[in-house]
Amino acid sequence: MAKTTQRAATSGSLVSLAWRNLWANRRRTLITLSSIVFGVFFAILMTALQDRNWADMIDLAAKMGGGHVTLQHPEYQDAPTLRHSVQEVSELAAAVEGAVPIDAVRPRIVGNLMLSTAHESFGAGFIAYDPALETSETLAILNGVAEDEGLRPDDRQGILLGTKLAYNLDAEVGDKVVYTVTDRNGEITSALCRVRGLVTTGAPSVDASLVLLPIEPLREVIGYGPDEANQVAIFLSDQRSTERAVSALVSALRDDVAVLGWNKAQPELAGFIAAKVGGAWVVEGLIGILVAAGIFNTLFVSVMERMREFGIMLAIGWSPGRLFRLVMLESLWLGVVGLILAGLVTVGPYLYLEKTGIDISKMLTDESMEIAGVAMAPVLKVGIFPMSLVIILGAAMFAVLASGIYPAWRAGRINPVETIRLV
Amino acid sequence: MLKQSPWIVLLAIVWMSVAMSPRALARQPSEDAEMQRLLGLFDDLLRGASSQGTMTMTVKTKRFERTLSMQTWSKGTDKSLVRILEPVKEKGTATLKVGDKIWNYLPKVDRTIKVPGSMMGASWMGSHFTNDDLVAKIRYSEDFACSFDPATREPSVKELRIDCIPNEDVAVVWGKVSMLLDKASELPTQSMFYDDDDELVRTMKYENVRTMGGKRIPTVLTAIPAGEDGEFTRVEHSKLEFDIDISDRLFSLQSLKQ
Amino acid sequence: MNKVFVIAWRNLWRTPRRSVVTIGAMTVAVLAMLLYASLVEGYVRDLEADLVEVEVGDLQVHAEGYRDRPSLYTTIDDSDAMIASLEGAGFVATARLLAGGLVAAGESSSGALIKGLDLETNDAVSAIAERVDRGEWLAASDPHGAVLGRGLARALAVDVGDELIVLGQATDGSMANELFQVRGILEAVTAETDLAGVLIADSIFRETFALDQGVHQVLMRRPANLGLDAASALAQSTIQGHEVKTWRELQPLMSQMIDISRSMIILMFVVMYVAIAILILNAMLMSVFERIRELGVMKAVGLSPRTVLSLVLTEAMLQAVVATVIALAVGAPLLWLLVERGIDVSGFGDITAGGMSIGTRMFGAVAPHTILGPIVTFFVLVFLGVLYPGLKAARLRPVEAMRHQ
Repeated sequence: MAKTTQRAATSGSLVSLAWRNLWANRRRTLITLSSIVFGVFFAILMTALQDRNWADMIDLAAKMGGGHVTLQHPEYQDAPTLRHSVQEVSELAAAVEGAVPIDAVRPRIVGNLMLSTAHESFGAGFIAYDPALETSETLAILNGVAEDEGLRPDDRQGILLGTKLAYNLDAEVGDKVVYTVTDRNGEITSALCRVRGLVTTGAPSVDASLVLLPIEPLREVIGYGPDEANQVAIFLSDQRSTERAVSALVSALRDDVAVLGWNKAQPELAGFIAAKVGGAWVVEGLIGILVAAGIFNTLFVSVMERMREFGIMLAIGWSPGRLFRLVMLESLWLGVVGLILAGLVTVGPYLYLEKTGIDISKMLTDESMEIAGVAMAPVLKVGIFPMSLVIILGAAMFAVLASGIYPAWRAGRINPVETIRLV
Repeated sequence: MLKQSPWIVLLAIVWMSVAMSPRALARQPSEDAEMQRLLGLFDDLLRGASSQGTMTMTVKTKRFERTLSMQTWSKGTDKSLVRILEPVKEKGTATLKVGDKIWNYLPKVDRTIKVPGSMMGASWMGSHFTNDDLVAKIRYSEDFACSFDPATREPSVKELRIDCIPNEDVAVVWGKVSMLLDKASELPTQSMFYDDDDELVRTMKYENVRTMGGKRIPTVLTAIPAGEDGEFTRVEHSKLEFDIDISDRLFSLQSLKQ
Repeated sequence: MNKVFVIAWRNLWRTPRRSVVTIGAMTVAVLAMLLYASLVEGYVRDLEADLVEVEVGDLQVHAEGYRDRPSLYTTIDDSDAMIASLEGAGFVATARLLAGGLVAAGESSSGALIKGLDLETNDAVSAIAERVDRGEWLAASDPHGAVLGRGLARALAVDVGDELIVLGQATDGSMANELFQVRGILEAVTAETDLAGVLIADSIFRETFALDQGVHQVLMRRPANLGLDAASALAQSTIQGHEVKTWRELQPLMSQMIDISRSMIILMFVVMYVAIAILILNAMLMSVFERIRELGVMKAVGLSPRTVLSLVLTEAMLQAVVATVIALAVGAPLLWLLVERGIDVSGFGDITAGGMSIGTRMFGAVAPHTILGPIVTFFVLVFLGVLYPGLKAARLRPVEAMRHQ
């Protein structure tokens, strides 16, 4: 022990002394490292699962709904009728493109209608889109349409029905259905369609109440102009920039359109995600405290145990500050080694989960999973945002260092005479 | 719910009176021209005239049987008013139709409710007709491609059958509508409504031809849904006047309350 | 043994700092377990409570064919006798009347699901009366009062005290119409009720829809000692000729979601307990190995391995008891806060998910097993954690121990 101290004193390298001290009691260090590794491993995987799935779900929700950011008539939110429309959509789209980095801008008309066949009539919601412009990349519901079905740009009579809705209406592909809709002037008007395909999203509430229409013929039926819509869906390059995009668009666009982020347009989903993320942070926080308590425990005991040693060091002229730095450096080493080990342990499972994922479809029975109208993917995969990783690693390092402060401070406050006498 | 395309039930009489004047079918040089004439008569029943009358509607379903007596007014094709006289419980209940909008007045709660789009498919007064049936407006002469059933053209056959297929762009749920006309009177006796797969969905019968308001018309109309054993909605006219002067003010929300 | 206990107790306070550190770590562990168990209990209870206690009940009876094609005419006609025999079998049950219709207020109207409730028996089965956000619950003295779903009230732009017209088709084919006054507006409940639910008393329902007899639905809670499937089988044998469904069959999506949530919670539980076990093991290893010299001295003065082991074990258990007492004292107010106030984990309002509302505030719940479970687990972990170093210490040869750092 004395030799160690002496060598350290001569070399003056606190860093390497701290490193050696760490391994003087290997068992203790391994125990501490294991809890760091465990904590970081768990935090990374859990956060990666969340980041990936919530990001996927937000993108999916954007594709199922009105994009990451929606432009609409300022009164549409309170009174969602066809009367509250947006004019000169193409001019608006150009302005959007100039203001924020986007993937796509898509004009749509959404609303409610009544569908009738010779046998039955049912109410349904509709999304009218431009079949020449949109694919499942921006309108996820199109994923639920069979390859050979779907709307063609030149087909003015096409309609796609939710599977369950078609069943309820007793309609098959090729059959005629008549829809009745209250137009922009409040008049009730009807038009004939032919069922060109069925939509199966897996979300029961969607399959029983959704129809897709081509936007151009609908415009004529409800009295819209050729450049008019009641929803402009904007798809951002990165959903995390939604807030920024919303404020950029608010200042860039005309006053007669309202700009709505997905979190405002789909508060249920936003709330659900926030609740899940918040709940996970509570658990991660609790575990963080447990891990920190363990580290504190080891560091403190290790300081107490080495009181004699520290007393001698003080006696031979070490300053309390230097001792403090030594112990803090030991914590730092612990943190560094812990994080490196955690990285080594985590990388395998992470890559596996990123590529292959966990199939949770076995946990589901016959019906599919749906959260606030968004169907959930049956395979859970992970993918962490770099920012989240930085936060976790930073928090872990902080926990390790913070746990070391009190023991380090105690080490400097030892009374050399007393401690040397101590057995 | 059954569908009846033109405004048949409530304005049946207007319809009959103009279209089916008691005139023998005259031989026309061209089949097409004759068809157009017949369909034109059919369609023109719906327009121009005004009427006022009383009628009885009997609805029989598996669940209930009810009889309502009502007073009716109509002007042109798009204005009409029906007010229930009996039973006492429903007395004063009224339906106003102007264009494609429908309002119901409910005396019990003293309120007028506009029928929303979502309720257009619902039954009207418990009958086999929907609110949508009341407002639907089609013209057979323009919206349908019609043809005579050649077999019924034989002089020995009393009734002429016309099969009408809706044109591609017309908002009609039927796949086909067929009608039987009595050659002697040129009055319809029956019409049949089919779905896309040529399956019969509903039959309308026109019976009891009498002179009313100066015209010979079938005074009893019965709608029979296919496949619903014993169910029907029957409308019987007991009194009817035509081409009388009715103020437009009658067809307003104020007068709906009476 | 008594002597061991006394020595152990003295040992604890001979080096108070070390004991304080160990007890501190233990306290954190127990506290974390207590709070987490309470959160989990609250979460699971919330999920099921919303569904089962408030709206769906454990089991529902419908007339054969009703659920396939809901109709005012498809009724259970012997409901009084049925409820009597169900109650004889230990269930609590209440009858409901259901009709689709239209509600109108001012210029607005909306499709609605009108429910007629038996006000006398409803509260024993359903806690929906406690979910009134504004205004009051239905009362027999106010037959024209109606309680609305929150979303429906918003769509109609009505508030407590406003009037409301219910329209529909009565059994005799006439147009059902009745004037009501909004008496209460519900909190977020299932999406269906939130967006379309109009709750009224069964007497006025019968009058409005001319329904003299029969009910559409019987909602029930199972006897406390029966599982869901057993209760379903019992109900089925008690009442013949009608369809009996469990809430899991009626709400398969929510049932799955609760199952998935449960398995996630179990996963979390495992992770949590691994973290706790590491902490405890850590503390135990530290507290024994750091004074291995001292224990070696004891061996040297003639203590048997057995005595050393029981000394170490006793010390650990004493520390655990102290830690538990502290954790309970510190935890009580925290648990109270968790149960009463909850933690807002999102900053959003109430939300619905898959047809069921989910509060974004996490509430705890306390039950005997949420307290005893963690404590028992904790003692087991402490015991296991100290066993290895204890055995090691007991087998120690004095010479080795003295050399031990």
